[in-house]
Amino acid sequence: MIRYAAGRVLAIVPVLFGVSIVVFMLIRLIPGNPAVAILGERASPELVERVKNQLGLDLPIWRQYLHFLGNASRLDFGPSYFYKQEVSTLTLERIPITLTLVAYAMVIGLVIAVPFGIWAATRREGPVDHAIRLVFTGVIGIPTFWMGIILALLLSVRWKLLPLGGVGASRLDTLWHLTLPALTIGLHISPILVRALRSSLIEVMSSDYVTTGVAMGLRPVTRLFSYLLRNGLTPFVSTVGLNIGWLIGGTIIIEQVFGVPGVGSLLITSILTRDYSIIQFVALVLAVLVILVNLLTDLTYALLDPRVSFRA
Amino acid sequence: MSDRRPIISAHFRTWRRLAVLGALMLVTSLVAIEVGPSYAADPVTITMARNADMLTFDPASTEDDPSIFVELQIFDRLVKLNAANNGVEPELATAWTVAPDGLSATFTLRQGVKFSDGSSLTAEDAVFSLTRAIDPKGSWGFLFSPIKSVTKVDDKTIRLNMSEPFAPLMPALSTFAGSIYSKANFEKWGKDAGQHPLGTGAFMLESWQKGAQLALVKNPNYWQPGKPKVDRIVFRVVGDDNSRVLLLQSGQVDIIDFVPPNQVQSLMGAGQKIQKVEGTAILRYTLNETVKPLDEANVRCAMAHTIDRAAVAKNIFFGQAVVARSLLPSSTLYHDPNADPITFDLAKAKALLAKSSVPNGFTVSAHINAGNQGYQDVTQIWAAGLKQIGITLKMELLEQTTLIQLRNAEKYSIYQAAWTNDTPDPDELLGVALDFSSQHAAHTFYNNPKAKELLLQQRRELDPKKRQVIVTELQRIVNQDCPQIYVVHVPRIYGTTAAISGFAPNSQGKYSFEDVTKK
Repeated sequence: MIRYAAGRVLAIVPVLFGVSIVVFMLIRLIPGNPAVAILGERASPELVERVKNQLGLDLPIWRQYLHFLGNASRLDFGPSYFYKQEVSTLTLERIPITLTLVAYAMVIGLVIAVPFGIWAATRREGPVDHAIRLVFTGVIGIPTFWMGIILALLLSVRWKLLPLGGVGASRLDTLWHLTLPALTIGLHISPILVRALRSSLIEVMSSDYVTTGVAMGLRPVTRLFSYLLRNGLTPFVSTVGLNIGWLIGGTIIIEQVFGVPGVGSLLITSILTRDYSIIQFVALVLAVLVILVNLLTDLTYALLDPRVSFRA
Repeated sequence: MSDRRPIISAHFRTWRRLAVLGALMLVTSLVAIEVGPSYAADPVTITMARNADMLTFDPASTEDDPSIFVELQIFDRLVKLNAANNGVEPELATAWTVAPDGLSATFTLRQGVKFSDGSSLTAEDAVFSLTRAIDPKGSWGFLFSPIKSVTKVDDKTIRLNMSEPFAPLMPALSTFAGSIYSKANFEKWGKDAGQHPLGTGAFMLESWQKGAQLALVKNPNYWQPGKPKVDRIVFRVVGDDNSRVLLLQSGQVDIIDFVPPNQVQSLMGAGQKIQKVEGTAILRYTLNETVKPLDEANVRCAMAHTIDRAAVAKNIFFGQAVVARSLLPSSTLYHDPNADPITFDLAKAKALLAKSSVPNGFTVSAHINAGNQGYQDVTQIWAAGLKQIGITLKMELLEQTTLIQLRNAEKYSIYQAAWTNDTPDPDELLGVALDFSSQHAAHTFYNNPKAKELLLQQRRELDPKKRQVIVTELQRIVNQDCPQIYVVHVPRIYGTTAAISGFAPNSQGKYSFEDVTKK
């Protein structure tokens, strides 16, 4: 297993290479450039040319890329044009809060989804199942930022139960501040999780060993935990893992809405200001995170299902 | 085939593993979070949520409002605007004289002023700061254009030397661009000086988590006794308009900026206070005269008379904006609302168009900011008016940075922006709008030698009565030639909780926290 994991980790490098080329080209295709964004409304053509020269943006694209590669190999990703700080420092100090938000959101999503998924599966085709599926299909149609504002209005402003985003004064306080954003995201992904759990449970429910077990007098609780969940969890865990990967990039809007100083809000600001260095580095970091999460998902799958082996 | 594990212990082992994995994920990320310095419970902290973070503490390279407003808390200037907005009062300068020929101005510096680290303010610091400010290669050199040098006369006095009399001198020195900061500190930090400020203002920098939060604390060496009345200010970055309003309503922050006009009534109804600063920003359209038929004054003025400004103020800005009657924002010195202002007059518009080369109308595009719904709505109202005289306006929505670049490349037809005064003196806006050598008159290619001559004249005219006559004439020329089409004065709207008093932004929308208290 170690060899398998090591192989997967090494495979990150070519992927990063590809990601960096794509991002590099894409952001330079967008009209506008950092010089204009830095200078703002008072940008005159001469000043823009001067700033472009300072930033090295008047060199041909392939030369700029080689320059970037050379620096990247020394782990020097350059300074941000706007914040005048090293890009790596700026980004890395924000990763923990984004990851906490993602993990917290996933926990909340699971807390909501697992009971309902089990309930819907065990009462399938009944009124409860239909009601659950209806409600969650409705939830999936609600845009996250709308849901976020409504939740904020109710829970933070009207009932004063939760703080509205930002960071707290201590670690635990920050977790408290992240509850509202995490709740919003958790609610948003719960329909997918409910669906996934329900269908994998239903699939397992009709298999031979379960029917045999019930015929042999299996108690419902044992049936649920040792048979259904134990086996139905595996595909479900894959779905969860894939969603975590998706969430890592998907918290961007929520971070903006709630003023959470994570990687997502940094990315949005950088795109609007064409801060190429930050965009490139954040893209690479997000790619690494998603790949690692996918790897973790696969390893967890192997943990759960002893039939999975690592021979290529 | 892999090993077969007994079912019962497998069940426990898996759950345990999954639970441990999940807990590990949560705890690891949590532990890794670096929170800012642990804030001891400070007696009085004011939290303000703003829509963007600041970028630099170096006045000479500052372009954005959030940076400007924080610089105003940390640095002082030689003079500050008086409450009546028609002159200046002493700040770091206690007295000044302008020579009879208008070519030099001498300032006596306040004695006993210290920077927040305890070092003394000297004439060298003032000379250093102002020399950087007037540098034509810096962002704000144009505000001080006739000032050629700043010299130290003695330890208490400095002199500004000008190439010609300069009427806007005092208001220009009161802007953030004229901030005085420590020379020693600036030289010590070199190119990082913009991140490490040292000033004589009421507050000093405590910490800065970029993009998230900035904290200022009271300057223990502040030269005004008894001020400021609060100990700490925290600026939070909350980009979303609705979130800012919610934060204020729930009391989680004390002050917010950029209150959306449609939320003003509901905030006031909930007991919050609203501070409006009127007359410092004007919404207007600039027309590119290299695009036919925008080169004809009759066409431009016909278009100018089709905007229903009252409808814009009432419907788009919920009654919070004021109809404009001049290109100058209404709080600008020498503003004249009666110099043949442009009004909503379709009959006049038709008559003007009839005299042009396109009496039956034409089609033209306008490049509008895609992120600003309010601006788009204003343009819709204008398009409706234009339709009535046969002109079809096509809106092209572009993102902000792209838009600026298009305008700089002068490939736009009609461009929309708000102008905000940095100084109450009209020279700033008039210079940008009417001087062809200044970026082709704000990229409009408007070239009127008579206007240029009057512009230079008013800049030299030190007698206020005579200056008013010239500036009125310039406003009349703008109303008759319509190089730019003004719409409404856009207010700067701030919201505070009922517990805050003394938060009073000045006529330029700049706020200071010296007099603010919190119950």
